[in-house]
Amino acid sequence: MKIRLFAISAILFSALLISGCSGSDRLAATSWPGLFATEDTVFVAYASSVHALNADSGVEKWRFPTEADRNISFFAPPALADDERQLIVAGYDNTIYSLNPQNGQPNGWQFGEAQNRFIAGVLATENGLYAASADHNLYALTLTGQPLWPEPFRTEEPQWARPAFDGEMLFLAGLDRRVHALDPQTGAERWATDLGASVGAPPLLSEGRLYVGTFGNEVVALDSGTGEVLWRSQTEDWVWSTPAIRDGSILVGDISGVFYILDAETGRETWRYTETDGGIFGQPLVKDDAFYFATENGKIFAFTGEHDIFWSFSIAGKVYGPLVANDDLILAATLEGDTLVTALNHAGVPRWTFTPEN
Amino acid sequence: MWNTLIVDPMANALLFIYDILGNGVGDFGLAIIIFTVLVRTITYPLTASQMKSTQKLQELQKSDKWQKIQTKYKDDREKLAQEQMKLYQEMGVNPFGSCLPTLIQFPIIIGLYQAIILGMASTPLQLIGFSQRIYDFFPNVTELIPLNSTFLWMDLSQPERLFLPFLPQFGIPVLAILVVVTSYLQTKLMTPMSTGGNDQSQAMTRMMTLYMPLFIGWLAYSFPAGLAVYFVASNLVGILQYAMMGRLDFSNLFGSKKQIQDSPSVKKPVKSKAVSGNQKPKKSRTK
Repeated sequence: MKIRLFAISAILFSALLISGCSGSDRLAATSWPGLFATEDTVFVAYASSVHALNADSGVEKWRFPTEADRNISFFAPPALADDERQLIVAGYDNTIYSLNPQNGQPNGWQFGEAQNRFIAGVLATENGLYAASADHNLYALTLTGQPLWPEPFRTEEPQWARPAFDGEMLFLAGLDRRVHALDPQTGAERWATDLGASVGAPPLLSEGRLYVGTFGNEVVALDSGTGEVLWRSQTEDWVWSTPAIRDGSILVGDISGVFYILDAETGRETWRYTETDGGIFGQPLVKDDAFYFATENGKIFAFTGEHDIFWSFSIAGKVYGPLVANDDLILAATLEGDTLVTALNHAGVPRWTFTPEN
Repeated sequence: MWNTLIVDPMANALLFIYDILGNGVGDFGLAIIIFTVLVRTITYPLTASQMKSTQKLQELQKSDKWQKIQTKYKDDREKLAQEQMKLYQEMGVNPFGSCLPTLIQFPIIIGLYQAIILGMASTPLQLIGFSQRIYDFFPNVTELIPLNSTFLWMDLSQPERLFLPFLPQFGIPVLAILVVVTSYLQTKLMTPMSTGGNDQSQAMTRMMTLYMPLFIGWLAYSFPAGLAVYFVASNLVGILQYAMMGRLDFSNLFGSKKQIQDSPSVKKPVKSKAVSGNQKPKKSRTK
C-alpha cells in the first residue's frame, strides 16, 4: 500500500513539476493586455477578465466575467460597435462576446464557431464585425453575431492581426505572408500580394496606401487599390507593430529597439533613434505635435515634432502593446509588472495606475 | 544558463532540420521525429550503460549469494540491507547505476519539450521567445516563420484529437493511446522480470510498469501533439535500439506471472509471514 502511494505521489509530483515548467499550451497560453479607451472609460482585456475603468480615476467600474473562469481568457483589445451599444471582446477560448459597455453584462449573443483562439481584436464597422482567428479564418458577423458571409475567408496560416478597413475594402495581413484585399459584404478576394514574410499587426491605411511591417525586417508600402508594392524599406530586425503616419512620414520601431522615420512617398529613412532599452512591439502614438512609443522594458519615450525627447517615463513591467490615448491621457498596459494599466498626462506625469484585485 | 546550454541548441537544431527538409515535406512533425532519432542516437551510450547496470543487478539478484542472504536475514531488514550493500561492493555493482543515466536523460527530455513548445509558437509571446533564441547566423529564418505545425491530421500546437465523420462530437486521442501502448511495450519488453530481490522492489517495478505509461499518456493527452509525437518516436526508437542489442524479452509480455511465482522471495514474502505470525515487521527489524 505504501509503495502504491509512493509511486502515485511520485508520478503526480512529476506531473505537477512538468506542468509548472512551461505548462500545457492551453494552460500557459498568454499574451500582453489589450487596451482601448474612450473619453470616460478605459477597457483592458487581460487573462481571465475584461475590466472597465473610470478614465478620470482608474477605479474599476465593472469586470467580465464577475467570477474568474479558468477556461476563459482575453488578451485582444476590446472594440465598441453598434453606436457604442456593444463592447466586442474576442477570447483565447475561441469565442467572441458582446457586452453592454455600461455594466459588462452579456448582450445575449456570443459567437463560438472558431476552432482556435482569437489573438487579434475585432474590427467593428457600421455593418459588421470582422475577427481574424488563429484557426486561419477571417470571420465576418452581423452586429447580432450571425455569419455575414457564406463561409469564413480561409488563409494558409494563423491570423494574429485585426483587419484594416478603408470604407470600401478590408485588408488582412497575417502569418501567411500575404496581404489580402476583401469585399466586406461577400468575403470575395479582390487581390492578394505576397510580402515574403509574416505580419503580426494590422496594416496602416493612409491616402490609398497600405503600410505594413513584416518579420522580414522590412516596412512595405502597397497601393490599396491594386496591391502593387510601391516601396520596401529595410530595418535592422523584425517589425511587429503597425506603423504610424505624421506629416508625410512613416514612424515605426523594430524588435531590436531601433525607431525609424521614413519618407512615406519613397520609403527612404530620414531619421533613426537607437538609444532605447528594448524592442518596440507596439504602434507609435501620434498626438498633436508629438509622437510617443514604448519599449519592451517598460520605457515610454515622448518626442517633439523636431525629434527631440521631451520626456521619458519608466514603468515596472513589459510593454508590448500600443500606447493608447484620449484627450487627457496616455495609457500603457504592462505585462509582468506591478500594475496592469498606467495613465500619464501628456506631460508624462502619472495620473493613476490600475492593478486588478484577485 | 539552462536556455543557453539546453533549450537554445535544441530549438535551433529543430529549426535546422525543419529547414533542410525543405518546402513540401518540411513540416515540424517530421523534424521532431528526425530530431528524436538523433537525440536517442547521441544518448545511446547512456542507454547502453543503463541497460548494462540493470543486467548486472539482475544477475546479482539471481546469484546463490543473494538468495542466501535473502533467506538468512528475511526477518531483519536492516541487516539484510547491510549485507546487500556489502554484496554490491564485492561484485562491483552500483545499485544506482541504472538510475543515473535516466536522471541525465531527464533534462534532455525537459529541454526537448521546451524546444518543441517554443518552435510551435502558437501565441505572440511564444513567437517572441522563439525569435530571441534563434541564432544570428541562421540564414533564411524569415522564410521559415511560422513553422508548419500541421502533421498528418494533427495541429502539433494543440492537444491531438481525431474526429471521425460518424462521431463528430467526440475526439479520439489517438496519439495519447499510441503513447500509452508504446510506453507499456517498451517498459515490458526492456525490463526482464526480476526473479530475485525483495517483494518491495518487485512491487515498485510492477507499479511503475503500470502507472508510468498512464502518466506519459496523460501528458500526451493534455499537452500539444508535438510532444506526443516525440514520445511515440522516442519509445519506438528505444524498442528498436534494444532489439538491435538483442535484449528484447517478448516473454515478459505474457509470462510474467509464472516467473514471479517461481521466485522464492515472492513465494514467501517477508511481510506476509510477519503479519501471519502475529509479529509486527518493525519489531523484528529492531531485534
